[in-house]
Amino acid sequence: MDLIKPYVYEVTRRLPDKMQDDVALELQSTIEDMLPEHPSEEDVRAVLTNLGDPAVLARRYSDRPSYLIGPALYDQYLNVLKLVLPIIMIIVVISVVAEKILSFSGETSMLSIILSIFIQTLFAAASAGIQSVFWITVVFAIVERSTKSEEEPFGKAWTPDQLKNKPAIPKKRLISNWELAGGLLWTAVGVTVYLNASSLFAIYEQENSEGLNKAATVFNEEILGSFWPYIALLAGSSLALIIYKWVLKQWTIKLAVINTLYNVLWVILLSLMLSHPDLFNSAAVQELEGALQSDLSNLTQWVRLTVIITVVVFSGIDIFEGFKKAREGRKYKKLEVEQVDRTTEFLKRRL
Amino acid sequence: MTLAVLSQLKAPQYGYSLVQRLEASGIVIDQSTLYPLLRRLEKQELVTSTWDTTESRPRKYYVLSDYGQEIFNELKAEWERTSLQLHNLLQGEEKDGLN
Repeated sequence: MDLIKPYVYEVTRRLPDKMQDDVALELQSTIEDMLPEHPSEEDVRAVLTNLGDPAVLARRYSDRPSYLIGPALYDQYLNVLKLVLPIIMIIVVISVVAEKILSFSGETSMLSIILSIFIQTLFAAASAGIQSVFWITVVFAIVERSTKSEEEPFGKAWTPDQLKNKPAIPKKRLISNWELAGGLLWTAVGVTVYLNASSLFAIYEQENSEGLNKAATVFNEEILGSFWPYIALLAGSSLALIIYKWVLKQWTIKLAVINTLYNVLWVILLSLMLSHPDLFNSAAVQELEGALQSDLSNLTQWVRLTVIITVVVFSGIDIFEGFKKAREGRKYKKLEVEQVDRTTEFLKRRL
Repeated sequence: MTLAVLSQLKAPQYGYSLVQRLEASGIVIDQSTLYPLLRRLEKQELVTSTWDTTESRPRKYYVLSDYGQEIFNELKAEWERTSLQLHNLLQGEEKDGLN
């Protein structure tokens, strides 16, 4: 049985056309060189084993990389992914939520709206995420194959100049873009909910067979409308805080103090709004009382209290986190200074 | 390894003869690495090749080009410098050990 021809074929079929014949001829003669005068099948087997897997041999012949994205580009690939994915996700979430809220006409219940927002966001985010990962990978694979190995991909060698715009911030103290985007998203969602409160929070009645009909809004619209300066103040201060964080890029004690003030403002304004005696629409309360046949004055009190306590707890956590992050950085700095002190001390003693 | 291969190519060699020469001086080289390497060296114009069909079977002979000779000399000098530095380092370590 001739094993040499199939072996040579297995190698050359994986190679570009123009080098196939040459490699085939060389390989053939090399194998014959390695064999004794009248080779047995055992001899042939030994020689072929020595040469190894034809796929491996073929890979070594071809210059094409056997990886999609090589070490030179891998870090940049990851960086681009880390940069692009969060942005895409935020855009997807904002656009889905905005579309749902703006197209809300009061025909469906609150729960089904929230559920459909959740499911749609999940699907949209997954498909957008897969799409962007795919295209980024394709672009990088093309760049990988179109630059020669000696060239620096993207044509820039590293120079110390690139450090100019990169202050060293301890990671624990760093304000991530996620944090900023999250804050922005919360502010936008909050304002949108406030502006659409009359249709979002309402009691609906089943009218014979014509579907749902808005019976009464949960909140007293006049009172709610009169809160707009508070909301504007909150949204404004929240935006200002986000911009300040964005400029500062890291947590400091000063920022932690400002963050505390902001949270306190939040709690005070919210308590003011919630404790307004006529916040809840009396028509809605009566409607509910009628439906449930019970006194709801306790319930509204209870709702107010729960919301306030929740907000206080979250604000407390946020304030604490702010100070913790600001202090992490100081600890780090102090440690560094101590290290330098100890080194100089040591050197002095030696001298 | 490239250096070892280049050093043996002052006179024309074909694949298997090169393997034997290297093995004779104690350097074992994976054959599935050697042949692709020769081809790459040819592509980089460090060696030139000719087919010899006068013998019983056709053989591809590789020989160092002028440019290849130049590169070989540079690589050799570089290698000697590095091995000398390493040698000194290791020697120094031994002395430190004795003190």
